[in-house]
Amino acid sequence: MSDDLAVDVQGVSKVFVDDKGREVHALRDVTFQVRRSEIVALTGRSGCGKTTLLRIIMGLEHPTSGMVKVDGDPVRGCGPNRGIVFQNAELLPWRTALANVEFGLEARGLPKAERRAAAERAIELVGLTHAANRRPHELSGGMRQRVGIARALAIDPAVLLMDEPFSALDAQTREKMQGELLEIHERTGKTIIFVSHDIDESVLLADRVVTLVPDPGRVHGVLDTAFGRSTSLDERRDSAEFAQRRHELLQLVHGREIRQQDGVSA
Amino acid sequence: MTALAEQAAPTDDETALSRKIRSQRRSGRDRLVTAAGVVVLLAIWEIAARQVDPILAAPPSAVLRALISMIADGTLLTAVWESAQPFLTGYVLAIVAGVPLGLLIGRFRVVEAAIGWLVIAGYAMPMIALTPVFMLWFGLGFAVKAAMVMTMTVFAIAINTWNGVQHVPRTLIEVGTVFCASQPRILTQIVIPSVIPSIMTGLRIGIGKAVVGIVIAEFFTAIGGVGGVIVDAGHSFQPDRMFAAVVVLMAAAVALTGLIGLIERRLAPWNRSIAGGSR
Ligand SMILES: Nc1ncnc2c1ncn2[C@@H]1O[C@H](COP(=O)(O)OP(=O)(O)OP(=O)(O)O)[C@@H](O)[C@H]1O
Ligand SMILES: [Mg+2]
Repeated sequence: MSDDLAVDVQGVSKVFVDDKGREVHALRDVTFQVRRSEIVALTGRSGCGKTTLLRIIMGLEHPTSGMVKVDGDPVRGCGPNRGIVFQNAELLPWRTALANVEFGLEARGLPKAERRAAAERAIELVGLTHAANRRPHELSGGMRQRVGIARALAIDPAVLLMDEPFSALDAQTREKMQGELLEIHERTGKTIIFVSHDIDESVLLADRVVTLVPDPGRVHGVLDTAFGRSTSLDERRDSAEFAQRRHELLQLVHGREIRQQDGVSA
Repeated sequence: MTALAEQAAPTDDETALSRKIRSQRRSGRDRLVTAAGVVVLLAIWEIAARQVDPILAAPPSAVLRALISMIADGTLLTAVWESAQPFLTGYVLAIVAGVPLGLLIGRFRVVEAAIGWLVIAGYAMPMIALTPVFMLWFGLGFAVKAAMVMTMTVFAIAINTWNGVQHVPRTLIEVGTVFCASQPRILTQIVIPSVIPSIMTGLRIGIGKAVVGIVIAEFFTAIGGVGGVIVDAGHSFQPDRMFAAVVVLMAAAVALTGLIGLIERRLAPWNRSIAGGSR
């Protein structure tokens, strides 16, 4: 069973010391597991520690206690088993889309031809082959975020980590990107953990939703929201489960306990 | 999904294109307004200058005649050449010293603590005050002019570079970290490209400072150069020649600033499109 685990978050706590020297308990004893090929959403009110938790999994932040394992290996800083997608894409403005996608591959010292080929595959996966030679300022917000996703996929990571990947996009583009993410997931089978403020997005995309509550940030409940594979977004949205789960998640996020926790089976 | 993406692409192209057309139309109108402004100013100057004693002021027509005669007899070319040499020497020295200085101060806390204050003081202080001392140190020739240009310019370049390093987006550095890029790779692939626009800003501001530097040096030493021509013309009551030299200085400063802008657009074409312009 344990080699089925992609990400194992074990009793992670994080205490920041703010400017005035006070301790901020951003996370306390957070534990959850993510299975291979699963999509998990982290959600909860502002300040509940979603970003902090994701940054710990990324290796950008060290937990005060506890540990995170990805593919069985304890996380210590960066690693090629995790591909990261940033909220605002964060592309290098002086590089073309393709060169941006190559960035993660360069750091690993791959030969140029191999790098190029891998980047071209990733660019194609997000449907941007026609814009591969444009600079970020010549791309729309949605296209930029697709380049960001391609950059993360290019290193062929086990897990894709995304902090509010679509929150900076307009509603229409966001919806399209959500559909594309599901398609990418179907094609690549990557494990995906994403942070979202958006209840609908969490329910629609994720197989399970981990909700956190603040002060100190801790897991409040885990809701099972899996739709059958290859159910389209529209089908999901129109289903009765969607309305039900949405309702449950709203209750969870707003702090009311619901009885069944850790893997509610509908 | 590819089909979806391609459907979206034409709209993206369309908005980019219409944006471009709009900005071109705007710049065409702007140019017309600028030209009109110049004409009006010249006309006012012409009319006003004709009312006063020719010893005190010269109308544009007289300035133009003086300019032509100064070009014809070679005084202008000699003067420009005499100014250009120390100008370029001082300016290049300022770049060579100022950019690494700014990078070091911006990148390392210790260096900032050690000499950051000096750069701020140097930038804030009117360097003109040092001219007499510089004349003692460097004499009255080429060296003092170059030194003046360099001290006027170096702090502007250093402070802008420093500022640029401080404003490298933290998230871009995190992109490097998260994709396991080494420190040298982060420096060359992320920090330095990010700082280029700030360096160019320093160079652009530096041009203005350098022009002040060369003119002051030439005023004080009164030996040669365009500054020398201005002083001589002033002393001999020839306002037309004086204004002609001033116009040359102005044109040179504008041309050099434009050149820097051109280089900037070549080096950092992404920067202009990110920063919004005025309407
Ligand atoms: N570097 C830091 N220093 C001090 N406190 C911090 C730091 N980073 C985060 N915090 C605190 O930790 C808590 C959790 O922050 P975090 O950014 O993880 O929340 P979040 O759930 O991502 O919020 P949002 O939904 O607004 O993005 C907050 O109280 C925040 O103020
Ligand atoms: Mg956050």
